[in-house]
Amino acid sequence: MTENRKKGNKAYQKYLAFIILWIAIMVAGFIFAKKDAFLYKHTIVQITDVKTKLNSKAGQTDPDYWQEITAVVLNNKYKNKTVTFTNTYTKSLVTSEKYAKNDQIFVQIKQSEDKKLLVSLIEVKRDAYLFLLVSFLFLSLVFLAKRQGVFTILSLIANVTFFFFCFHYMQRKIFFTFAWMILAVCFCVITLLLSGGFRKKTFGALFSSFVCVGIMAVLYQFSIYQNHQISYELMPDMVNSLPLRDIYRTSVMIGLLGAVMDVSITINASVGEIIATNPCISLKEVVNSIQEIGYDIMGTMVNILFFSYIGSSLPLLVLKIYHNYDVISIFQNTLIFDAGRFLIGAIGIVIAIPISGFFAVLLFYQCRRKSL
Amino acid sequence: MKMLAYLTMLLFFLMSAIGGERGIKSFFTLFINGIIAFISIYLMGFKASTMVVMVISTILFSVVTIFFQNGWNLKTKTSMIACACILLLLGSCIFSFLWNAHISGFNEIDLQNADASYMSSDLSLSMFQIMLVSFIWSMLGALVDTSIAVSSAMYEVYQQEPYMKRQKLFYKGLKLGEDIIGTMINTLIFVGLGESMMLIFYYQNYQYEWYRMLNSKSLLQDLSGVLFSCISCSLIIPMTALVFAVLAKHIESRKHIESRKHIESREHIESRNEKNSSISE
Repeated sequence: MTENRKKGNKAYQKYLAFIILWIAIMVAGFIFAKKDAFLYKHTIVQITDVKTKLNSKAGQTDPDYWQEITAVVLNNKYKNKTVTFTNTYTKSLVTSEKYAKNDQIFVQIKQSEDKKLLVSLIEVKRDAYLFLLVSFLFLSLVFLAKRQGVFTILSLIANVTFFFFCFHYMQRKIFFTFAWMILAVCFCVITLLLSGGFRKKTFGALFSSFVCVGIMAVLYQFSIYQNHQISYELMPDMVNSLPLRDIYRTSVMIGLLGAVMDVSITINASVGEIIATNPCISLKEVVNSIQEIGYDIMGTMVNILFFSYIGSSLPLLVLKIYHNYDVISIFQNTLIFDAGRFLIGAIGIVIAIPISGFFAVLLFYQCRRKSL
Repeated sequence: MKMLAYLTMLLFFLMSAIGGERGIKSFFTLFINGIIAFISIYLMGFKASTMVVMVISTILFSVVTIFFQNGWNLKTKTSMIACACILLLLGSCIFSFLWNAHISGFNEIDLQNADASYMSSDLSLSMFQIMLVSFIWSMLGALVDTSIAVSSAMYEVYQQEPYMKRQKLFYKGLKLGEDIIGTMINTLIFVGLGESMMLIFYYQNYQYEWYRMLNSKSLLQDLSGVLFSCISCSLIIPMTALVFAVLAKHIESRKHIESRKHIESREHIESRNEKNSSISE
């Protein structure tokens, strides 16, 4: 009893030490990122004092505010000098920024003829916040999922690096047409091999995700064929000089990939386990258990896709409804991109269940061959 | 429009063919969620208070997804409580994050669109609040589903071994979470990659410098939705395990004893009493 308690205490202490270490690393990194102005070539100022005044008549729908800002220069030529400048923002904050004390901003400083410093604002310094989010995610992954978390992080880094590499070196038209294929194959191989290793279930998952993505590509092509007038120019963040149709197809296929891989690895792993514990289980029972797992995964995965797509398209939808765009134009010009991604992804998840079940049975079920 | 209608019909057909009754049920959950989303977006567009709409829609979403899809039992109660805790915690984190990082409103790329100047005129909405709603909605799916997965896996363990210690049950929950978290995060990350692909093309095409990219509003806006949902689905695992460990001890063990009293022989009861006394020590 006391030994057990000691063991429990030790585990508890380890846990506590982990949490403290976790928080310490994050805080240290955040403070460093807040003070890393010396790493930048461009001038950064930190706001020390802000005075805000209302600057418009009563009854205006979106009132203007006027800020008088005092700031200290953090690096470069004018280091430690105090500058003052003004900023206007509207209450809705839709196109402007409201600054507060301790914000850091990239600026351009010029010296006028009477030796005053003229400041023009470029961009808020946001790297500390990016670091905070990424480090929090990585640390919680390592802490909660241990070995698997480390592999998740590794595959994430490998995927993103590969992604950047691909688009840096292959900006030709013919590449965009086949980009979804190349990227899908490489992402699948990288992710599944890193998370599963060279095992039977990994190969089962690989085959079934390839087949699923292939089927979904055909389906996507077919459904796009039904709908000629998608105006790809209205996609957010688009670049006109690139083949937008191919890029949208690639983005749909990549969005689908993660979910399909998950379904196939889950089903392959569990079918492998079922057959390992009972090698001569009847095929009907295997199919039943695949169905059972399928029910569980289907609803949850589809839900995840639904919420992440609707969340990301929400701000634009609300703005368009506020300005009385009609429903059909909203559907056709705004919602169609995210809705298309979601629907193709959801169908991909549902299709992946029988396909990966089929491959898993094909790979693992060897009872009949042995008995013959 | 045509494409969306066809695909929706195909989805319904496939879900009912492969998932049977439960497939139809999850399709209807999706459908109800879609209607809730539609109504609340319209309400926000028509100047209803954004915060009120956010609270009500979040509650409705989680109630529909948890209780309609999975019934009223210990598992769903656990995940409801855990989700509420994490939503409050992360909601306040997101609030201060949004405020400090200045990422609400149009980013520098949106501003170059033709529509932007029209859409930003005469607004009485607060873009800050709308961004908050957007982040909370996008993490809701991952949050709810991870918590249900963990609590139902724990429930199975708990049914096999109902007299487990509270601490041990908690650790078991963490261990079960390890398998779930990797796949969830993979899904979310690929969704994010697909969505932010255009952005990467944009950076490449206009040759952004690295300092500009790291600090740009557009990058952080795109990434933080995905990152927050990944964080929420990793934080929900210990939370669900904790809530389950607390709830299970109080509710289920007493029920268990009462229901078994009728069935089992006296010897069993005695042996369990011994176990009980050892636990209470």
